[in-house]
Amino acid sequence: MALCSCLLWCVLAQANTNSEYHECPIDVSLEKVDEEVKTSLTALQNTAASREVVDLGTLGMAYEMNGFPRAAFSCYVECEQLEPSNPIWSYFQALLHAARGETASAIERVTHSLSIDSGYAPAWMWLGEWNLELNELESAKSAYENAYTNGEKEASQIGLARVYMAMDLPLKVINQLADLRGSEIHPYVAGLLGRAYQQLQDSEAASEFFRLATNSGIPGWYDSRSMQKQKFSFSISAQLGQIRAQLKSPLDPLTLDRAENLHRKYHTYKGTLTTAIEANRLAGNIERVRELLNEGIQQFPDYALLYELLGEFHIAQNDYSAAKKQFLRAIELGSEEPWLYIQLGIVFLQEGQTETAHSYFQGAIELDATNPLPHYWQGLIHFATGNNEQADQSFRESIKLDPEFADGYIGLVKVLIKQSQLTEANQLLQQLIELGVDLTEVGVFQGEIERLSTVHD
Amino acid sequence: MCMLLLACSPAEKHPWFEDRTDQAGVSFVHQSGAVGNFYLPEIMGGGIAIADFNNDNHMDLYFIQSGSLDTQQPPKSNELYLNRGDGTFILQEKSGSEDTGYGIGVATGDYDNDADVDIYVTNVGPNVLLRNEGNGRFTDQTEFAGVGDPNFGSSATFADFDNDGYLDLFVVNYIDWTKERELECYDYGTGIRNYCDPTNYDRPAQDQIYLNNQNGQFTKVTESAGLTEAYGNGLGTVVADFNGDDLLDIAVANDRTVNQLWINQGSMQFKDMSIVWGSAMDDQGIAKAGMGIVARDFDNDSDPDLLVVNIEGETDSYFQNEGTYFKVATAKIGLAQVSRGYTRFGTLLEDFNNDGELDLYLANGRVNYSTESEVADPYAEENLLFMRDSTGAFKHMPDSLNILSRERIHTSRGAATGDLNNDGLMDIVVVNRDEKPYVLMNKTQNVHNWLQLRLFGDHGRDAYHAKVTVTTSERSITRIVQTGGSYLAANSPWIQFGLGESRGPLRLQVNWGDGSIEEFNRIQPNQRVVLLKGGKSKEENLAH
Repeated sequence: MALCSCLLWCVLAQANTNSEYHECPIDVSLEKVDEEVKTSLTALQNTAASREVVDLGTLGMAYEMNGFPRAAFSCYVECEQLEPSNPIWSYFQALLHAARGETASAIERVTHSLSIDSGYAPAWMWLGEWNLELNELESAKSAYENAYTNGEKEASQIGLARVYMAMDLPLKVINQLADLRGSEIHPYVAGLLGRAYQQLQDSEAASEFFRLATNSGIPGWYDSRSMQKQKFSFSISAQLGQIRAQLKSPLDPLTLDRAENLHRKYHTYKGTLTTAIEANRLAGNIERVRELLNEGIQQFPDYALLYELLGEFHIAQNDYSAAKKQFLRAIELGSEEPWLYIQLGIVFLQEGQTETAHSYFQGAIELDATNPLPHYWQGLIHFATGNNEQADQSFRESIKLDPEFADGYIGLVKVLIKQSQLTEANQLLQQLIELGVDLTEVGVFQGEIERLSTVHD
Repeated sequence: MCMLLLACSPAEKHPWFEDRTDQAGVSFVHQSGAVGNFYLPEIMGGGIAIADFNNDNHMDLYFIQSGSLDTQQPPKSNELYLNRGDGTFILQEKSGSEDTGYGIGVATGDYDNDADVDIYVTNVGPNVLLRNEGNGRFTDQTEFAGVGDPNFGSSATFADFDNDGYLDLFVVNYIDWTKERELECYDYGTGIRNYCDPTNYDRPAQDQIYLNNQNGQFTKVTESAGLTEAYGNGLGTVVADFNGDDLLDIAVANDRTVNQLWINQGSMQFKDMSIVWGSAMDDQGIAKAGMGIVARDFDNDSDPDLLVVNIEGETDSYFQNEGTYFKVATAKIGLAQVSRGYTRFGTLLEDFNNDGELDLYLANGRVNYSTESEVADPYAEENLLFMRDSTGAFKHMPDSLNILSRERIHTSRGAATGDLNNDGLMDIVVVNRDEKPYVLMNKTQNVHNWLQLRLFGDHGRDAYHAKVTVTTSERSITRIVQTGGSYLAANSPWIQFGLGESRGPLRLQVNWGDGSIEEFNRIQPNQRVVLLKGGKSKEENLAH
């Protein structure tokens, strides 16, 4: 009896720290959230008044996705009481426990979920992950092995390698990752291998893998249960995020509709406006882009980005004079985009104002010292004004910043030919060929070099 | 059965700390200046330094005030509180330390070797160097010294990187930010207007390193030192000799960009070895939101290990020093669980109960808006206290043990530690955003033995980064004189040795950091001792 009391006390204590709700709340205050969230959640709260499991579950997922994780947790608990045979409710509870750093509770909940459906590989993956966090390495290993058996191959192999790394077994790590170390090696796998070789004191192999180990995170796994929550992200920022993720050419007409609808509904948000502009640009609706930009400038007269976009729009229409005006206004409003300075430099160059153009290219360099383009354009100005020495320097700088920047090589070749430095010019042409530059263009220069060489001989 | 009951009930009734802010006479209230513009700096500060600024052998407090980024508002100044000698404080007005910049963090050190502690303040805008004139009065030497970095500074630290006996200066910058560059961001879930994520700006700022010219001036050597090769959204920094070559290295915790580990190559040359050493990212393989950072010897092998704490949803990152690389062992020391539910900033690793094991205090506070906060402040979170057990794992203290529970929930940032009342127990001061700070006096039942040491080197100043190993009949413990680390903060230069049941006499070995090693024998525990380079020691008092 005492044992039962104690266990009950523990469970209650735990529950109290986890949530202040005794059941799925259908009256959570939505005062502070955005209109879209409020409208959608209110509708779901009303539906959930029936206390049917499907409605409570939907409300729980919506709460979770819109910033109410504790309310969501209570909904999942109630759903589990109503539908104990469904593994999804304890699974969702587990994920929320884990997010709060309550790893032991997460493990208990996911284990319960697996007792209902042991075939769901992502649950085994999480079990492995959380046991790793608790340094329960044998349990983690067993979970990843189960994930593998249930179809989650690559991610579970990496999980097992992580277990072996924690066990200080670098050779096992290397063996475990043998299938995953081909030419398309994932940066995370490269990092693991680097660390394994490091422990084996093979610094050469370690360095080789560390070079490939960029900031990437652990390769994920597809979790269909969690994915179904995504459709309940209602906030404007979430919707914008979803739309922006789809902004690519060719544009799906549905994405354009979503962007336009959201802008229509929330026209005071800069984000909905710029997203609608981008969607229309991708869809080729030039007039609509112009209309939106002009409307936007009326509404947000100090928003530099709109002038940048309008300038770009004019560039696309080959109206450089109009573009210049907009770009200058953007800079006046504080825009510090290097490409803006480059564009202005090009426009001034076209107008024959080489000194002004040069100063804008210099401005671009000051804003981003790693961009080869402004150096290249400065090289062109120097070359055109007969200042070969400075042209040489500028082109070399552009190549230094980007060793695959073909235009920089071509500019430098021109300078070298003019200075009769034909050997180096020839060497650069070879490098251009290696970079895959059009052979016709290279051929023209080669012919010129040949001609000059003959003259010199 | 009793064991079960004990395990699940709040067995420890006696709190470790008591909040004595009001009784201590500290009236400082941090002000972020937030009025709805969501300027990024408003969510990051402020800092705190614990040091003896007037050389009376009692730890004083220096609070960094933020103020307002709105130029229409009157500026607010930093505040210096001098210790009355009993752990209570008096605001020292007109001390010359009242910088009115939008303050973020602080570093302390005696940069001019005149035996008093100077202050370096990081601001949004020009940083400030305040020279201590010897009596707790300060003069602004920024311009003369050439260290007024104008960026969005975060943490900073003094250290003698070239072993010339003079402290150089390393300054961390966060984002290349101005009000004009501020963005409009909304919370993904709720759609509520909120502070932007640092990645939104895509403008990591260059950290800076200044070489002390030995004449009160510094030379910025960032480029020649190699530091332009890598930088991120820097927040925390700590200096230690990670590879045991008697040259101080620098670790930087970056926010959503990979961390840096600047290994000192000598002659003021540094190389970022974070990828090779394994501290750029932890075993999750991703650049986490690094904020607080500490370097201490966790595994008692006498070299410094590294702990970086991160944002809610990300585990801490513990890097165990293996001599030439770090092994990630966060789970092994129990820090891959509880703390993940919080956004951790101030990070204090100290033996608060003198049992010989380092404990951990984390000062927390969200940057993401919470719709479910239990208090009015949507960014507020409780702070955490962990005690290290005999297995080497950190155990989260139940609420009853950690007084910082329900009634003590604020948005905490900088945190520093030091013994404010010279009772042999390390106390804590925490800065809370737009709130009063916590002055947490250590109330642990001090049944254990202890030793506090302050080390002075050749120049009559604190021997920063000297390494001391105390050997008892049972064990050896290594600690480093280190005021930096944590977040935006400077700790007391005294080093604390909790000795548990071990009794004296103690044998001390000091590596002064310049290659010279000295031994001090027959030191008795339970006292504060000053060690002078050259073999002298001075007992400060016998407090136990």
